[in-house]
Amino acid sequence: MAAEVAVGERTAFSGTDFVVRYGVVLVGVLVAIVFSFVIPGFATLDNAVSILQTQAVAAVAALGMTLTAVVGDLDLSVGAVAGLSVTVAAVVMIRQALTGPSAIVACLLAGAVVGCFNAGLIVLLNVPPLLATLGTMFTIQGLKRFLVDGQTLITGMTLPNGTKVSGRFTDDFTAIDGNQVFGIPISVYLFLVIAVLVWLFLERTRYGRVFYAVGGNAEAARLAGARVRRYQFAAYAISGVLAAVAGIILASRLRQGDVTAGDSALLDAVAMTLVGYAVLGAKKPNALGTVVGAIFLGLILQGLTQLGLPYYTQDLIKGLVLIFALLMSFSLRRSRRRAGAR
Amino acid sequence: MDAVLEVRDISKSFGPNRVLRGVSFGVARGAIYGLMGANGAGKSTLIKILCGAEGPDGGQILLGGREVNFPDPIAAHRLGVGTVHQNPNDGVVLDMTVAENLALDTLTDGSSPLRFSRRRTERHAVAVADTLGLRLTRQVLRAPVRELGVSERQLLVLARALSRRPDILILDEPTSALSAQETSRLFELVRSLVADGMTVLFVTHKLAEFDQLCDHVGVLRDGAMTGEFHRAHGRLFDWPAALKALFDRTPAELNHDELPGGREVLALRGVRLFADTAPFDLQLRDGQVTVLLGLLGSGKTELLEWAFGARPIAAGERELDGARFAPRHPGDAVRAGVYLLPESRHEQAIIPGWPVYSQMTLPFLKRFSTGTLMRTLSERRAARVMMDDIGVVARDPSSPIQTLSGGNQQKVVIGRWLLGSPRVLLLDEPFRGVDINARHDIGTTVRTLTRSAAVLVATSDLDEALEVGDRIVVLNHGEVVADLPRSAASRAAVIEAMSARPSALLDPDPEPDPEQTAAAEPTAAAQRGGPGDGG
Repeated sequence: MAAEVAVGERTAFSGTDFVVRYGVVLVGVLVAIVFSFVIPGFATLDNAVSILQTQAVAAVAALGMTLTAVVGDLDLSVGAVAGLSVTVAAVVMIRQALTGPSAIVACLLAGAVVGCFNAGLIVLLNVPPLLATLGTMFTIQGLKRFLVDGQTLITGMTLPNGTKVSGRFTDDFTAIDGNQVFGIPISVYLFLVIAVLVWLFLERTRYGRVFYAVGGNAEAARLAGARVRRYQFAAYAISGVLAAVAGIILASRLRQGDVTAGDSALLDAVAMTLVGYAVLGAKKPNALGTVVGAIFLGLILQGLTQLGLPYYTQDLIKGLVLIFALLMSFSLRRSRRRAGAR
Repeated sequence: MDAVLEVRDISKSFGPNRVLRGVSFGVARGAIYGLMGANGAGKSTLIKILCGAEGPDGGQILLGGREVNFPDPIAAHRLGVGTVHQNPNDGVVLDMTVAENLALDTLTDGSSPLRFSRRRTERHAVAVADTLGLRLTRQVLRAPVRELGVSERQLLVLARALSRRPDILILDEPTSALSAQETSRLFELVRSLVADGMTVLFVTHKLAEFDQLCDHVGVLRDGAMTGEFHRAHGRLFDWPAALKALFDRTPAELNHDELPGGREVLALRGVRLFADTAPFDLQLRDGQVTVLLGLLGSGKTELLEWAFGARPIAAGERELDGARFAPRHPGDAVRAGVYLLPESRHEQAIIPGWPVYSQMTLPFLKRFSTGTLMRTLSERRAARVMMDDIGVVARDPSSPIQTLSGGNQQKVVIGRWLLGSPRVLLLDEPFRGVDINARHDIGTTVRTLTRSAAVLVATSDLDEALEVGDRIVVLNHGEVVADLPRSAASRAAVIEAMSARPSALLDPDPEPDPEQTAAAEPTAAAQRGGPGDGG
């Protein structure tokens, strides 16, 4: 078993090692099997697609968050940025009556601007990442309310100044989450493509290698010649853009400018990213883990919902899953002698 | 000898690593005992044991002839051993006021009433400050410690330690953050405390401080006492003998031919390492190993990191192969073939958890990728070849770095740079934490490298210097004090150059009144206030 080879000294089977490596996957498979027996229609392709579609928004945001977690810390503004995307899309299409593609461009730009703002706070102004993105989160939540005067933008509504909005979510925009290709929604393809790209980037490109080096030991990376600050900047900027993509999918699903949209995506994304730490004993943020985390969370929520669990218990379940993941990756550590403990 | 503190045969191991192997010494009442030792000699472990932070594996600690043991630091306090640690920030709460910090012990020991009273706290604080002869204004008492300079913080920590009325005071490199003036003030204070009957164990790297303060000096090397030196009143210590005890290991059997050196590769001109040091020039040639020898704080690391573009210094010009060389980032230096092996392997070179091969290829990822995609197979192949070349003992290139021994880890981070095409190789303490065999291997590798590159090895160990070097440059307090071919570098001459003290510290103090200055300074500093003061 690879984990034991890695340590070299211990070759005996260790139950803890096994749980650390395969715990999340095992629990996930177990949950899926149980639900398949208990819930009629659970083990169907449609249901699987439905799980992926439900999780697509938070998962795309979580993939961006994973990038920032690799170089430093979680980007806590992803939910707010996704929400900002929804608002921007609504403003562009409903209030300004512009086209779907222009809404998409506006959303991506907004995400990139917020991402660069985060990166600037963290890299140029040395604010600790968690605090910087927390500050950005609150600011963006306020900003999106400000943009729409605190109201939800709906097609055909009357604005406070008396004018009636003329635009609506265009068909090409709503197609993102509404239309299917070979029975699978476009949003699911989008999620999977982004997942593969992020995985390739982190695991197979030299940039990904440097990302992990910066996260593992920034000073060592710098002294090996890496421009550490540029990589940190890039991570937060990309995270902003991916959060905007998540928001575009969400807007396409909601078809209105809901001011609270996206806020709940933060919890989901944090849970997915941290479950990802525990997948295959990685103990570090990784794209595959985040995707597994998204599916894991989706399985549990979908199953429990179909068993009649009320929607308002969802956050409770997510919180418990998150704590389970944390225990898996942080508490069940092999007691390894620290190197250089003098 | 009437020893108030006696240590008998103390030993301590961390895993397979024997850090202390039977240390014994005694300190007489009212004496100031100096303890010196190179990095990794076991000083810090010994102090941790004496202050109760670690338990010894074997041996005894005797206080006034009675055996004691310290299960925790509080037990050590109760038995009259007070310790001031190297970093004053470990001893203060930055966001609390000066008064709260001074009165911290009464606030936490449960003796004070539940209601917090500023007046009572300040009264306690004044009493504590009194033990040091500090007279604090209300303004200072109410200032947060964060606004104080490092030296004032050090004084606060000292005042708190003294307010517990210890019989024995352990000072662990207390001057590393102090200016010369503050240092002499501290020394006056220590002398007056000793005159009142306190016993002091004083640890420092600075030889001049022993001369100023101590009657006895013990030298710790490789976890054992290798010499104790006394001095007659008014005389200096026998430094050449002490330094010999500090450095002299098993005599190195290695004797290599002295290489003459070839072309000048890296030229450093007008180098001023610190704002107050004189400029010097240094040229490095290929075809030989140049050793930069100097004690801790002599500026070795500063010089190497500056040459590598990783740190600015006061002034200086760099030239590589005759052309101006001004790296603004280590990346620029790497591209030009100037490589640095940093001083601290774990903190500055190794990416934790990574396998051997990716530790090695990190600076040269572009060479091991097609487009942007990594070619892991060719990385492993290159790492395998390098491991065989320089003798890295590991199962295979994919073994995680932490499964290797210290010496092999060091070979890996050296091998990293050999994957490139070095013009200049700067090695900062390459033998630290490395066993004798790996040290030999690394020395051989380094000497082979001189065929294509100028090699500079910075070390504080004379034996290492003589073992690996062809030319020995001695750095002392930021200035080059000797530049000798190995054949001319006699042990005595080099030790003499290393231990020469700058005149400012050699002069006896101008005798400031300790109480007055100690009281005046923190007040003045805190009134200057300002966040810039906080460091």
